[in-house]
Amino acid sequence: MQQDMIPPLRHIDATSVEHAVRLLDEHGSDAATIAGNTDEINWLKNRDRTPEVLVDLKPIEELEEISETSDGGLRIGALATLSDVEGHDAVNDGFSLIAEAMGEIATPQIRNQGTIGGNLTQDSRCWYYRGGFDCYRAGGNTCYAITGESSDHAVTDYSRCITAHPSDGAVALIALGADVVVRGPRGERREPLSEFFVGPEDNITVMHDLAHDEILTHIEVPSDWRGEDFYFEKVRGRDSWDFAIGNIAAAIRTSGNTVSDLRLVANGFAPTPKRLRKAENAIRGNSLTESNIASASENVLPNARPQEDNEYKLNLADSLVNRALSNVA
Amino acid sequence: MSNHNYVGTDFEVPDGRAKVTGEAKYADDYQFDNLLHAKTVKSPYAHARARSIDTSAAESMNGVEAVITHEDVPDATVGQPVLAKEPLTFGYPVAAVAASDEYTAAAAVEAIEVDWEVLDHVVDPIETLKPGSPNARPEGNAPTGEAGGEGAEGQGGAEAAFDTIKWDDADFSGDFPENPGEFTMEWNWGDVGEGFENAETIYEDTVSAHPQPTNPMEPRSTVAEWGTDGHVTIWGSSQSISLTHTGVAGIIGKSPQDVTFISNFCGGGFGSKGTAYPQMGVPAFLSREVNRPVKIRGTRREEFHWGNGRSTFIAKTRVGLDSEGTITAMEIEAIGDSGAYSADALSTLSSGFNSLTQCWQPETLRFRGIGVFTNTPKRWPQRGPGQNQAALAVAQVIDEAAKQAGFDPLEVCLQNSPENRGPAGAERLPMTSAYLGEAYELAADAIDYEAKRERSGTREGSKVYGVGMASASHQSGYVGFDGLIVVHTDGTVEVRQGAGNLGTESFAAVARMAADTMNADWDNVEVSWGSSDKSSFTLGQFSSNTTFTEGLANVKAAETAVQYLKELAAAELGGTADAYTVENHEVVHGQSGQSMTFAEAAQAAVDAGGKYTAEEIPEQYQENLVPLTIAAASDAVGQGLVAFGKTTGEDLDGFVTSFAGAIAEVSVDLETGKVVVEEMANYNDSGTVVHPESFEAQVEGGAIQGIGYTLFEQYRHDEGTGIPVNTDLYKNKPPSIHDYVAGDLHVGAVGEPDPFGPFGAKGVGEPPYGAASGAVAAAVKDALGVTFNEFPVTPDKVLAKVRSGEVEL
Repeated sequence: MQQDMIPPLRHIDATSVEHAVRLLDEHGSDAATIAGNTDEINWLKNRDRTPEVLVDLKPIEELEEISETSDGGLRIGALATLSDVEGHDAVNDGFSLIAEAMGEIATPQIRNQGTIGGNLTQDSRCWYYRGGFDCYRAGGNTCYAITGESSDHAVTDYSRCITAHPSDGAVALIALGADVVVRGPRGERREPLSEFFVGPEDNITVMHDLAHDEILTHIEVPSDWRGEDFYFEKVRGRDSWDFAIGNIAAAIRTSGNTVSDLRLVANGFAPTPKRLRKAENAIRGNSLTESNIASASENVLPNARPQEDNEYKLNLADSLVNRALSNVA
Repeated sequence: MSNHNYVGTDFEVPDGRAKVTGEAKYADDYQFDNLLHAKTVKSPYAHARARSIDTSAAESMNGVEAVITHEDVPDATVGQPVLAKEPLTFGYPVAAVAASDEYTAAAAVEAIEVDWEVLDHVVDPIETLKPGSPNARPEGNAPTGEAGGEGAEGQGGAEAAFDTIKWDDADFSGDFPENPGEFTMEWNWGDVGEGFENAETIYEDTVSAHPQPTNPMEPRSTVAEWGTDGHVTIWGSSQSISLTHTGVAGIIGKSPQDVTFISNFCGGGFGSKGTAYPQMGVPAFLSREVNRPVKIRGTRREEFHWGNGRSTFIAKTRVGLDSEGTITAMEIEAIGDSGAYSADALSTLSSGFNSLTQCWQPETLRFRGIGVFTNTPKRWPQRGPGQNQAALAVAQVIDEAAKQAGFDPLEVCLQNSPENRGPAGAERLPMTSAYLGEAYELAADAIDYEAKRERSGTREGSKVYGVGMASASHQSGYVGFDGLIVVHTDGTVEVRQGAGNLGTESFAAVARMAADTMNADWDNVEVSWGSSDKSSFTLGQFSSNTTFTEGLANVKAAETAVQYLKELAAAELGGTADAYTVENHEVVHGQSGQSMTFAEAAQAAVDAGGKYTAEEIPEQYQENLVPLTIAAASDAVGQGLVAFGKTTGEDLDGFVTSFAGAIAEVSVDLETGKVVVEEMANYNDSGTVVHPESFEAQVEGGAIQGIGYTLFEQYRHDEGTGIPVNTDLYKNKPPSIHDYVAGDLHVGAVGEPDPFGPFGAKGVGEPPYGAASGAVAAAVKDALGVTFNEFPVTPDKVLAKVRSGEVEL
């Protein structure tokens, strides 16, 4: 039972990406990283995590930078605060979807402190997992949410664990086709953000594919969707501070009133950010008429297997697609 | 009582600068050279018994100075033991350590081995009544003592008595058990059967007003120093002084005279810190071992597990209306939940019942209730404990009954609002004043009710609008308490009031009334607060009662002071005492104009001694003044003019009842399930408003909390394990300033003076919460046309009704 006291540990300021990677490599699983530290500190205070070494990424100033790339895309350092991203000209000029999502995260104080990298790499918000229950994700052999309180949990794509992915930033960035850049002891690698997230069928104890000695350094947004029509909405119980019950980010390219291409991404419904491909396919190539929108917004999670107390999320997902498409029409 | 120079005007509150500059000291801010830090060993189960506790490893650790277990502290009857052998909730402590620093204390806690015997638990109050269900407490599943009523609500709600009551023949398939078994509380006005016969429309529904943690911003931190001389000083976080002082003395087995209690500032209590709590006992018993100051720093999670919250109030309400819209009958069956560590369900039920009689004045009624225990955190009064649950529980039922009878719901509210001296309570005794109907009318005017009613049910995109209203009340004034005023020889007037500093500023309002009574200059009036050594004995700072209770006692003390000043002037300057008046810190002869200053008069008091300086306690106080009040004057005895006040039964005829009437407009988004409070008017019958800024702050804060109760906040326990799952602020969702009303929140007062209140004042704190909560619930129901039986109305509940087809798109 937690004591609200972080056990003694060694706090090391990383001076560079290389330094950080070296420290993580050296200390192995004894080390944890912090950046904005709006979340890790709770794990530490609750003594659910007891690293011996805390590698602080915050001093790596180069990872705070946000810039426009030569081809008209964006390069966002993982340590840019949510507020900085929200307010940055390069973001707002053509990629306002990201700014909108940032502005809906948590509270102003957390947005000033928390980083975009942290928003993407955050852990499950399942209250059982976070409450210290010995569930699948924590190494046990049951999911307490399935038999208990699951109104906030996933309705589709789950396997044993029904945690829902909580990130607002992820859906906006995936809708824009962003990549992530990761540095580790073997150098730099890059992958689509959509493939960065890991579902419980692949590895039930993690939410993303960062190895313990890797750090997320950048998010790169291609120019593909620059200036297109966007829609972001986050539905939550309490305005002042809440995670999404469900959110949606939409990037929609139209020619006349016809959708030439689109990406619809939602969180709160699956353990990883969910591309709503059925809806995308239903409206792609079609005009945004009321009836086309209505039929594309029907049963957007066809493989859903909800619990009794989260069936409502099927209605919510359909409604969010409808609102996204209607807003552009 | 004389001129109104201060009553009704705003002023700079005496503790305001300290709060905004950070100078204010809360319990955790007190530092000592040789301070030890306490932490506790807690149960990881909802219900378990410690077979044995091995503290040897902890005791041998460097820096560990004291270790205690449940064996080292006294038993508690129905209340919370300081440490428990059989913890009845998750997170309840069995042992505690004191160490030189918090790291060592935390490590020592982890070194203590407890051998647990896990016992059956129950977290659902209805479940406890099913045959064969486990009992949350070893003594039974139901508290059966006499409910203490509102005056005693801070004291635990009922005497300790227990029974096992199961509803063997009930059908548990619906929202409320059909064919229920025994209820332990029953109230009747007339023959409710006849009342229903006189009704044209009868409507019945069950609504569960849910539990929520109180969750004040400041957790329960305490420093205790048990001196080698046996005197104990406690720096704590409390709403109250007098009752917390005597309460904590009781917890640690001391007489109040041997305990000093200090609480200058309290970071929120909302009822949960109305009196002493067991967290205060932990550092005290540890300090007893070593005679060094010991601090326990409360944590947010402890606040959820070891703090307390609002009791569940599940009510099946049946209402009968006649052709005039008069409520001819109201029948309620109710189940209240005490959690594991109180009998608060009983005072919740009786306070809820009482409020319904006050607000709705049914011609006949039958209210029956039963309280139960569950293995969940202690239920304890939270802002309108019972009254506000009742407001939420009946708001939708009245709305629907009115509509089925063909009335606008506001007509039914006005039709059934109490007469000015209308009856209340089980005994149908009169209220001192009642202007709820006027409050509703002001609210209707402020919010442009006709326009809102016009918009009710209309759609704007996916949003549908609704309007609803509700009332709440609170018994908010008591007599039998003490006041104490000292006029110092420098001419300053000191009001040694005994209320706490909850944050409502009512302690300062008390001094404003005393200042007016003495025609004193506010700049030369000092309010002492925060230390039991200088507190006249009064009721706890709960029940919205300080302005009335403590105000009246200190106005009486001020009147005594004025009388003494006149007598002293007459003795010095000649003439009769009656020929003198007080003004501008002078005692002046009305005709001759001869005068002496308060400073001179205070010196004359010192010279005269006797009753004037409390060297002799006047006969009328010898019997009825609480010794702690006399003790609170001790440093002034012989040093200045000392004046006591005592309120008695002669000062009051009836229940002092404050009311709120609120009207809310909401929009409900049928696609997202989101409820937005678009506009609200919340008007209060609080008698004379003493301090307008504080009054408005109370109504606004109450409205926000009421919105939070209906829309966001709740306890959530995993039934399988009995462990609460939403024990973080972001999961528990108390409302903030950003969860306010989208448009305007109109607040105001009726302003009619109460005939018994000091300067006509009553109280304000609690009713605006219940009225807001019920109004939002009724407005949501009005928008959607369906009743919500469970709260809070979160988006998932709205969308579930859309999905099931109950709500038509």
